[in-house]
Amino acid sequence: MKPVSIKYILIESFNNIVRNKVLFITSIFTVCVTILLMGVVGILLMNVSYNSDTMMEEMLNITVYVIPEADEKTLNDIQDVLVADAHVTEIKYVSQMDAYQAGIELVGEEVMAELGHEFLPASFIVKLDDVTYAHIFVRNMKAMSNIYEVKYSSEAYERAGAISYTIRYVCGVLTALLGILSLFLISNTIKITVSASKEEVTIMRYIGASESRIKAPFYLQGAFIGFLGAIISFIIAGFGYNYMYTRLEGDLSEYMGVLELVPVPQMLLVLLGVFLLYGIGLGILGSFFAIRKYLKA
Amino acid sequence: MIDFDNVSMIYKSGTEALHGVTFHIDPGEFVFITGKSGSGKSTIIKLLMREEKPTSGDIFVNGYDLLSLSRYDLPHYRRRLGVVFQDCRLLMNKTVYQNVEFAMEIVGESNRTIKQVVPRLLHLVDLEGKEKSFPDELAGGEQARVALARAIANAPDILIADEPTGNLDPKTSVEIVDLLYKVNRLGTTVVVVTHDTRIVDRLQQRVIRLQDGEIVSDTEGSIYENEACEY
Repeated sequence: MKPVSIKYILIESFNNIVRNKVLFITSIFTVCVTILLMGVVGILLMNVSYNSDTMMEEMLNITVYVIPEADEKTLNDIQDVLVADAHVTEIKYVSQMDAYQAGIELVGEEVMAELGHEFLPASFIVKLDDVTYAHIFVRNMKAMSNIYEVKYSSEAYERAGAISYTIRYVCGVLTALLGILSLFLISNTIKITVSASKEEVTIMRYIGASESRIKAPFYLQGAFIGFLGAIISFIIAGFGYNYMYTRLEGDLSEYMGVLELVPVPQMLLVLLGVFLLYGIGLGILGSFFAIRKYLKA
Repeated sequence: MIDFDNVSMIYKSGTEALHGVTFHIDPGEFVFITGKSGSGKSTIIKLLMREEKPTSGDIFVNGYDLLSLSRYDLPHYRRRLGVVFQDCRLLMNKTVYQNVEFAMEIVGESNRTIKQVVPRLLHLVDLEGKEKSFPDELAGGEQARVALARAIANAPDILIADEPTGNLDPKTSVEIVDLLYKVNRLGTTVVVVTHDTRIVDRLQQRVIRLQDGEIVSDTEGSIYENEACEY
């Protein structure tokens, strides 16, 4: 396309926007909300994926608590069972005193001195070689006598998984609904612009302008709505993620355990690409619907 | 240049607008198509513009077979035509200069060419000094001149004028017709659809007269000179 045509298309697109400011701003806002919701899901999924190895690793660690009254023979018997299990790759024994020391680090000596160490159960921290075996192992251990409790991370991750699934589902539905609303609004904005430019379009056709030249400013306008919506969403999501990252990696790092968040620059790069692609795509698709319906040759 | 061969046109409503119309126009000719309202003049323009396809018959214009013209070729065909509408159809939000410039911009002319050609066109139609005026600041005759300048901006092979003097006073009508003739003298084939007998008389060119969708006469020179005005 010649430079003069590009200049013409850009000027026409800009004029179209100025003529329909309110609808233009509303469309951008809707695109922005749609993309932000999609961004929430994206951020969640990226972090889950980023931590999947760590989470799998954690799921292989199981803590078997023995009743506090257990004597040395009982402990040896349990250890023998663990050693005999072919899927157990590592066993670490945590005595009542070790647990007591850990308690001091956690809540202080005064509290622990009052409680004493006798009520704390000794435990075996076991590492398995196969995560799918974890459920069977836990069931077998729970069935044994003298076992106080068996804890493993999968319960926490299953809960997290359920929450993550709900968020994904709700955000997915909302994104789809808002996506449709965005398409409708963009389409409506373009429809109004097309109506306002009807005389111009008729003259253009009489003079011999090609269909692509006639339609290009309207497509560009839709793409511009999507572009602006994407950029605004990116700024909001970027600041939001940076704030969350700083808090979770700083003051709230203890709640994160072994999990890590995707680093900010890496996340921003992905968000920018996906947001722009989605926003511009949405804008062009909205324009396409309006043009197909209201700008028939 | 323009060939209508046994062209008939029946609209969806059932109205028969043209019946077996045959005529040929050579390159460089100046032709008036006249007739009463409903005689089929506007249909001929629609067919020439390829807004409509005939029900039967063949139309060849400028080497294009209008019946088999593809959507892709339609803009290329129309670029070789210039059209002046009765209501001028100027873009009210653009200045005189921009209205003419617009016609060249959308067919992809370079900025340099536009800057060279537009002032020349405005000089040709005697609108120098009005470049920055908007259409609603112009008189009817001046608007018609802008429409004419826009129609010839891309140097068309054929200029079609649909009732170009329809809304103008006699003096201005004469000026517009003289301009059309001037364009014709520069080599463009001009087809003027009109019911204004004064302008037909003035130019003494070929006149195709329609009545009820059929050609009733095709003569050189005015047919109205010695007749009372019919319309």
